[in-house]
Amino acid sequence: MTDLVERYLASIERRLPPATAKDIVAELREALAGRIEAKEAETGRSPSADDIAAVLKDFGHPVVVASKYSGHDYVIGPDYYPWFWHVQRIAVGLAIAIAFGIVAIRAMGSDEPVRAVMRGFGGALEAAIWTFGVVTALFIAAERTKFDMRWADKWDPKSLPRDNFRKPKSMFEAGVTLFFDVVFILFWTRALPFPNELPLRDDSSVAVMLSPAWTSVYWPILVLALLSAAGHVHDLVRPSWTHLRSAMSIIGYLGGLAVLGVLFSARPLFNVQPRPDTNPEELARAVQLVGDISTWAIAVTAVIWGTTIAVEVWRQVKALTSTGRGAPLTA
Amino acid sequence: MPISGDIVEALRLELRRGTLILAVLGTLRAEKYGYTLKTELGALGIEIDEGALYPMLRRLETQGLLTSEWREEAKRQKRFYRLSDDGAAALAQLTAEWRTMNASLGYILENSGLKEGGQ
Repeated sequence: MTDLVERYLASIERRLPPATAKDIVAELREALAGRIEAKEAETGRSPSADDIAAVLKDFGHPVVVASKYSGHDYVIGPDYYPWFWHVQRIAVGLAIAIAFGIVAIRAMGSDEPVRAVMRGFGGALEAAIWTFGVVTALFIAAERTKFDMRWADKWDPKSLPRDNFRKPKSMFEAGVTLFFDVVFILFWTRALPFPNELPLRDDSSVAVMLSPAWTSVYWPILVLALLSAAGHVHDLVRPSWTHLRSAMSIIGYLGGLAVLGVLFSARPLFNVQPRPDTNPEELARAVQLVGDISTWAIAVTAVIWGTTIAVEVWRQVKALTSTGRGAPLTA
Repeated sequence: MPISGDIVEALRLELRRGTLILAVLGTLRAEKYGYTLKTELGALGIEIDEGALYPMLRRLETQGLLTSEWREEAKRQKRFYRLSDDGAAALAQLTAEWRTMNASLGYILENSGLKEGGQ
C-alpha cells in the first residue's frame, strides 16, 4: 500500500467517529487495494503515483467519504425544514417588535428621543440576526437528536385560517404597526416626550398641549392602545383572519368611537400656549388652526373607524354563514 | 421546450436510490465482500460507487439485516457480508412490495397512458 493511500485513509480517519474509525478504514483500505489491483490488471504494469491518485480522486474527497458514515445527511432534514421557516417568521417578527419596544423604552428621558428611536432600527436588525441564529441552532439540534415531531400531526383542518375573509397581514406590516402602538403607549404614559412646538408664520412658535378634555378618557385610551398592541401581536403570530382577531378589532374601534364622542363634546382638545414673543394675531390664527384640525381629525377618524367596524362585522357574518370557499371538491 | 438533461439525470438517480438496497440485499443471499459485490452489481447494470456502498453495508449491518466477518482471502484481510435471518425476512417483504409496484407500474406505463393519450 502506497504512502498516498495511507495519507488518504488518515485524512478520512480523522473525520470518522473514533469508535468505528479503525474498522471503517480497514475496510476502505481493502476496497482501495481491490481498485488498484484492477487498475494494474487493466494497464498491465505497476500503478504509478498518478494512477493511484486517479483511483483516490474517483473514490471521493476524504470529507465526502467520511461524511457518508456520519449518519447525518442533512443539517436540517425534510421532517423539520417546513417548520424551520414557519418558526423563523414568527420568532424573527416577535424579536423585531420586542427590540423596537425595548429601544422605545430606552428612549425615555433621552434628550433626543426621536433619534434614539431611529437608532432602534439597528437594534432590531441585530435582534433579528441573533434570533435567526438561535432558531437555526435549535433546529439543527432537533435534526441531530431526531426530536419527536408527532405533535405536528395533532392539527385540525377545521381550525385552518379563513384567508378568504381578509388578506393575511405581512410580518412587516404587523411589526411596524406594533412599533407605533408601543411608541404611542410610551407617549401616552409620558414615558416618551414628543416635541409640541407649532411654528408660526412670523418665525415664532406656540406650544400645543392636551386640554383637560382628555383627562376623563386617559384610561380608556390606554386600554384601547394596549388592546391594539395585543391585536398586532396576534397578527404577528397568526396573520390570517380569525373570529377572535376580528372581535378585538370591532371592540377596539367601538371603544375608539365612544372616546371620539366624549372628546368631540368636550372640545377644545388642545390648549395653545403662546411664547412671550408671540404676535396676538398669529396666536388667534394658531388657536383657530388647531381647533379646526382637531375637529376634522375627529370626523375623519370616526368615518374610517366606522367603516372598519362595518367591514369587520360583515366579515364575521360572512364567516358564520359561509360553508366553505371556492368550487366544490366533488361534482 | 426540451427537458433539461440534468433534470432527467436527477430523476433517474432518485428512481434508482430506493432500489439499490433491494439489489444489495438480494445479492448478499450469498456471501460476498465489498469489491466483488460492487463488480457483480455493475455487471448486472446496477452501478453503485463505493462511497455509497460501504456506508450502506455498515448501516444495514447496524440495523441487523446483514452480518459480516473479517477473513483472509488471496493474502488480504477482507470483510465478507451476508444476509442475516432478519435480513432475509426483510428481503422477502421488500421483494413482495417491489413485485406489486412493478406490476402496477407496468400496467400504468403500458396501458393507462396510452388510453388517456388516445394513442
